[in-house]
Amino acid sequence: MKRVFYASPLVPSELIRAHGFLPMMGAGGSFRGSGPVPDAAGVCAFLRAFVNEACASDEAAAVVLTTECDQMRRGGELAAVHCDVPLFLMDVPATRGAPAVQAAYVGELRRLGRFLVALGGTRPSDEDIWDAMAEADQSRRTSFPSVALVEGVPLALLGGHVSGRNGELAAEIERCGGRIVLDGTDRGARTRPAPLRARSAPDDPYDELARVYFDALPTVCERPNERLYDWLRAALAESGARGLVLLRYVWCDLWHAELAELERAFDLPVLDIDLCGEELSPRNRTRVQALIEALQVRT
Amino acid sequence: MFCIGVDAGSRAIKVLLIEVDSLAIVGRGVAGQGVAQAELASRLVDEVLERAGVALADVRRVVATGYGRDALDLAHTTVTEITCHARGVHHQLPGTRTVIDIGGQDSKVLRLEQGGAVRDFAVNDRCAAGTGRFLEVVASRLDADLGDLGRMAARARRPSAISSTCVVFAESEIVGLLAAHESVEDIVAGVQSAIAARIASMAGRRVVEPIVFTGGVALIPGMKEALESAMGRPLTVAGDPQMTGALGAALLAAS
Amino acid sequence: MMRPPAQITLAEWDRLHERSRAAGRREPAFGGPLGRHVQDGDVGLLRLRFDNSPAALDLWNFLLTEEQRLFAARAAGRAIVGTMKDLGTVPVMAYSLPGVTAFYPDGAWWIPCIMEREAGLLAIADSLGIGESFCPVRAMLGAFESGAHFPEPDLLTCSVGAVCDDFSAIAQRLEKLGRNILWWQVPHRRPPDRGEAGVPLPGGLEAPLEQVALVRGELARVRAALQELSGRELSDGDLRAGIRAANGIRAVLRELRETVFRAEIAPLPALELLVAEMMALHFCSDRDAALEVLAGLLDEVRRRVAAGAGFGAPDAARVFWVNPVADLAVMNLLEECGGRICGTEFLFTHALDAIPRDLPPMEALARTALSDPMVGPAADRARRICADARRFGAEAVLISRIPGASHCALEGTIIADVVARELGLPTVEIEVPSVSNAVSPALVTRLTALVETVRMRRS
Repeated sequence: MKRVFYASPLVPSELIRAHGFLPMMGAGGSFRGSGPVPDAAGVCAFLRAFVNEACASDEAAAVVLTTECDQMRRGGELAAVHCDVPLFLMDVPATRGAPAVQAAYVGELRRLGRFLVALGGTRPSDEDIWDAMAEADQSRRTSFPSVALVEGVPLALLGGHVSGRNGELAAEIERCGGRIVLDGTDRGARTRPAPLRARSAPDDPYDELARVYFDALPTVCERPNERLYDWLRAALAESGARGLVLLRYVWCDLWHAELAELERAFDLPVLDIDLCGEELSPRNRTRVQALIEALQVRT
Repeated sequence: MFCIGVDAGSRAIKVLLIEVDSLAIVGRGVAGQGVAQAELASRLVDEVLERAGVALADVRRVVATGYGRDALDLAHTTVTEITCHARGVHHQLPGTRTVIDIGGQDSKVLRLEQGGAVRDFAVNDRCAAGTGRFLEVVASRLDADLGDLGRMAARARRPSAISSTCVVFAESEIVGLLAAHESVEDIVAGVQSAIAARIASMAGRRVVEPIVFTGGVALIPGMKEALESAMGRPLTVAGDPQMTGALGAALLAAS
Repeated sequence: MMRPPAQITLAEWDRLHERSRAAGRREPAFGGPLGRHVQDGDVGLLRLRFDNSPAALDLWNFLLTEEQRLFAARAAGRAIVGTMKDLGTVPVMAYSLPGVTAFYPDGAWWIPCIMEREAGLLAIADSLGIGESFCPVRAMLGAFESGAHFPEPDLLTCSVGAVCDDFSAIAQRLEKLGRNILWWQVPHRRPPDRGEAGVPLPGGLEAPLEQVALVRGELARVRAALQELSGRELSDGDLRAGIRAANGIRAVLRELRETVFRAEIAPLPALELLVAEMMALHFCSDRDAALEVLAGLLDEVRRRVAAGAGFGAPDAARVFWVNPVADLAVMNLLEECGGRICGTEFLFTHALDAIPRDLPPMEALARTALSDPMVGPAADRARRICADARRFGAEAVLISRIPGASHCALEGTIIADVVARELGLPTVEIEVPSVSNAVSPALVTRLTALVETVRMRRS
């Protein structure tokens, strides 16, 4: 089955699946091969790795980017010109609440559907989409986040397209005597879609997708982004985290700009980890170790 | 019994020997960094012990810190330089709430709790523009000694504006400024201001007084004044600022 | 009588001004010697070279007295609207109401280059966590916090969505600092898909009907907020009158640009052209005066063209300039290095195009807002740049990167690619910080190399 690569949690994977493709969420910034997006000052390492990897993949039917950030918009433009893999740039509104804005998101989902059909995908009925949604919802309900069996200083993660639980960061945190009790990255609890409502015909599946994704997921790029802070406040209180680790890519303005406000808003030490790729550099390891040391001393 | 703190920094290895009960410093040493860090550190420790008349067997514990800490097999434990600097400053100046450490190739701002524990910190460790390296480049380019920089900056009429965030490009800027007949005094003052501004930016609004300035750059004349001007607050320079990290490591070894 | 065009220092201007005044030249209320602005702290002006015409003096005095006008507007009881990011559309609505003054706080990004060092604005932004990795528009944060450069607006609007990340982040930071912001959505402009209804936009662009409808709905929210602020209805009639007035200014600017770019010898330096174009955004807080100032500048330019007078030699390299600069002094370098301005795209061409008069006003404004170059693909910008460069006979393209601006990382590459493919013109990128003294030699090298390249290609 051909794959559709996507990066944003606001792209419903079940919609891709309903059209007969395998959804592949971008894993992180570790791809080092060349591609349409150059390795240049100001270019996000995640964008570069994600787009270049997708463009290099023999199994890629398409790449879906969103307008949530400038990097994705411009990177998508370059990829559209220099890459043979078809690219879809989905316009995700930054504001929330207005019916017209939600309608715009729904319109983009439908447009994505048409794009996938034009690629040779199946044209799903509303029933097919509901089924795919139900399957995805069921899968989410039954995949519980793993309970941390290790002891250690409880930490929360926050950030964008980074792998919170897996990889070197989690290992380093545990090695230094910490444990991750909250994953607020784009791959964690914060971007878990809302549970599906009991369906009552003739509900439009696209409206329900908008409710489950667009209305439900707090993001850093929405304006205002108060929902992100509301979510984080509640999640931190529930998790018992004693420190917050902000994971961001070096050129990501959206997350970087939140650092000062995060420090102000929560009575927790906030550690800034800036990534050039997925790997954890020695200096970032030192930062992680220093945070855990500081919290251990204060225990 | 004695304890040792080793700070294996990017430019120099520092060793401090303290007596466990009194916490008195009985030996110290500094050596340049090199490729064979473990060997260099070991040799330096031997020299310090010999000068102090202390046998290795009387050393209860060795804690290593700094970028090279994990390479030192003589250490029983490694602790980050953030924790060690906080500990070292707190020992010298209890009540310190903010520590500014500017080393050869990195800089940090630490906020401490009342009891000296680290509350949070910010680190610039990927850009030399806010570090001692910048001053070395400038001194070299202007054919001056680091020790003369303070006197030169004090004679500045209008500090030059340095815009580069990269020391390599800033060096080109300095050439440009000289070509534009800006005085060396203004240039030095401009560089010191640029470093201070970056530290102030890193510190943001998290600064709580009293503030202590430590690290090798604290020894360079003019930098304290530049930082005070950028932050709008008074600073105290730690005693023996180059050794603060090693002191903290030794104290942690003794605790 | 027209004096021979020259670029002069501020001190030379003050002497010239004294002689003009003695000879009886009448000035507008905001007129006077430029030196008085230096005394007020705008020391950066000492680095600039100015066009020596009285019309240019009026332009500069108009620009440099805006802060006073804003505070005077507040003192006179006018409602102050801070319009952020959309660069050209909301002020047209605001100025359609009596008693309302609109301005772009974004313009604070020039304060660091004009005032002594950075006037502390960038340091304030640093302290708020928005450091030098962000666009110089972060000076806006400092300006809000200091309160020294404009009165606190009664209403703040900000377009969001298909905008640049750092401005979005900076505006969000502003909100966290306690300002209420009316955020209005602007979608990423795209051409209509096959079978999708599309509408033409100013500037030769096209967008889907539903995108225009979305923006129209969003601007209706802005309209409602303006009505609430002013306590008065903002009728379609008011908007039509406002559009007419804005179009009057846009028409003058279009003719100014056409006249400058097509002239054999550049009748206006690049710096004054940039400042003049900026008048389109919010009329420098006085719509009527903006028209007078620009009309005076156009008259001067026409006189110079008729006399064959201008700046630089007839063989000066004709350079198309893309993106505004954070340090105005860099614009002077173009002439100093042997070039002349022959086309511009300062990221607000939608503020120069005529707002359609044959449509309902809100529809017209929505289409105008959606034609914003920032809102669509960089390739759209590039196509317009190529069309204009071809029309004006540009021989090279200069792309000015704004340090820290998120869109600049890749946009320059996209534009340069299109220019190379369609026109085959040499392109160079420069990066201009807020105070560029120290990098000036590097910038001069690049500009000079571009001019040399142009000359070699001619032979």
